Amino acid sequence: MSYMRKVPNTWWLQRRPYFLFIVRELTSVAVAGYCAFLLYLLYALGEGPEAYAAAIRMMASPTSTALHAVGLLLVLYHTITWFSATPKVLVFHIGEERVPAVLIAGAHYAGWLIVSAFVAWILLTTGTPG
Amino acid sequence: MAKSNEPIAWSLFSAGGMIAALFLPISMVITGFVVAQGFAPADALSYDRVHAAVSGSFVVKLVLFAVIALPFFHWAHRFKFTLVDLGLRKISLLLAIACYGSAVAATAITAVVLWRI
Repeated sequence: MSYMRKVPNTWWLQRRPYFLFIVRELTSVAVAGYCAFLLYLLYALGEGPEAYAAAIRMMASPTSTALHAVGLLLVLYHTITWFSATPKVLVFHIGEERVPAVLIAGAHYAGWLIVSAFVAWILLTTGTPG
Repeated sequence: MAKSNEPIAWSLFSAGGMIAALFLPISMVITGFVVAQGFAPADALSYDRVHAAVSGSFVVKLVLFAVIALPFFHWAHRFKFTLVDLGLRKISLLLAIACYGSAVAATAITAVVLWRI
């Protein structure tokens, strides 16, 4: 029926770019896993002070630290590949000139820096916010 | 051309990917290391402070909702296509239902959890 060439399921192990492509796609597992963790923290927050304190204690466990370390590496790989791909997706022109790729990616990295500083400021300052 | 849900899936994938890229690294550094290792001020993520910030504010809940729910759709899109690429093409419809279904379920859970706080 089909004239499609059979590709072995190990195709992604045969070349480095293929392997990095699969790693990039699988960073999404770390993304979802960490969002599930945030959801768990908020669930504990809704349950009351004891449940929340238990969740924060769990967050300081060696298992949590190890998972955070692996997750952070994967999520950073996501962030870098995502921003580096932005010039391919977002094409702008000023007059006839195409806005250079380095500016579009650079704007995203600058935005990342600002968002990170803002989140750190919100989460790490003391006293009641707002 | 056949009708397709692809634009919706791709928009959610794209929004979730952008939110994950911007917000998750700093959040992971803070929850996994700064607070966990005791480098943060004592009451930074205390129950009283976080509860007061979240429970009283619809805007804070909305931001948390977007930051948590949208990346699940980013995952659903990538994970489904990764499994297809790794050889599960024959059950691609089943994978789509399982992955996007999980993302929809996670979104509903996020809404309920935030609502209760």
